[in-house]
Amino acid sequence: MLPKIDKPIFELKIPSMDKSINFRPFTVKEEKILLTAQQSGEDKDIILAIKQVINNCCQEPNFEVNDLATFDLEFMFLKLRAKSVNNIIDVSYRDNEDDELYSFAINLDDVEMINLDSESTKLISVTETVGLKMKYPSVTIIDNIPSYEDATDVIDYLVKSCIDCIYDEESVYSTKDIPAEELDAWLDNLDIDTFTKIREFFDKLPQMYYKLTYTNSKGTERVIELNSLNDFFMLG
Amino acid sequence: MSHNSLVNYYTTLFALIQHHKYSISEVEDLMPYERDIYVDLLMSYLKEEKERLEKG
Repeated sequence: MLPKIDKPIFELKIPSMDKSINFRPFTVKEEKILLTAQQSGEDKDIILAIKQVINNCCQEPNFEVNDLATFDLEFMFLKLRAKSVNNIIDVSYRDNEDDELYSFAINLDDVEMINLDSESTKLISVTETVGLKMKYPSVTIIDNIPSYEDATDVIDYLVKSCIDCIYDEESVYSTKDIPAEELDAWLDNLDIDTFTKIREFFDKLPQMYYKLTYTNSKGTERVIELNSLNDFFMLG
Repeated sequence: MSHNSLVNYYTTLFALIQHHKYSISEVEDLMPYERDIYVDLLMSYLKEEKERLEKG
């Protein structure tokens, strides 16, 4: 007999797909998975733990956590955490002008996604008849970043991994079917204008957004923008 | 995650098991907010008991 779900179910939105799926809150046992990863201090362990917990809590049989975009994973985890632990988190920030510590209570339910309309930047025309379509960096792409020493190699890897397909007047060529050397050579021949558009795509990726404002003891108004899980859980 | 640490996790779990007769699986099957509510209620109860004993 299939196990019965004895936890409350709620809907969580997958921002990039604009659809909602059912989740249950995570348990104390699953909190241990997250805390163990946090203790290790390794980003890869933390991402792996978040994926494991999201997968455990999802109630949809065909859900594939590795298909999520990185910003989906962060947003969904934040909302899952709000339902499982507390939707209010306390953060503190040391002001670099007066060296005072300022504390804030953030309601995670108020965190929203921005740049979700960036779908239009996915299509990049190279010439009048040739172009390419980008895709959001998925969890798998980020997981598999090789340990390059040079930052430009990482950027090359990200650009190549996030090209979904190349098209011309006659056909659409999926990058999955293009040999790596051929794709490298094709990319090497692109002009600066195309690379600027690719950079714009990465600059305008959807992200979480929450704004903290305060006035420090010297009267200076400050704005802190929170965009990633690190911002929410490591601030201060 | 920042609300808790692994040390605090095990300290709380041990206290609930050792002093209040919960089992590991009972606590681990709770949602974190439920555990926090039980711990708060238990703390309030112990405080009231202490005050009652001191008065008596």
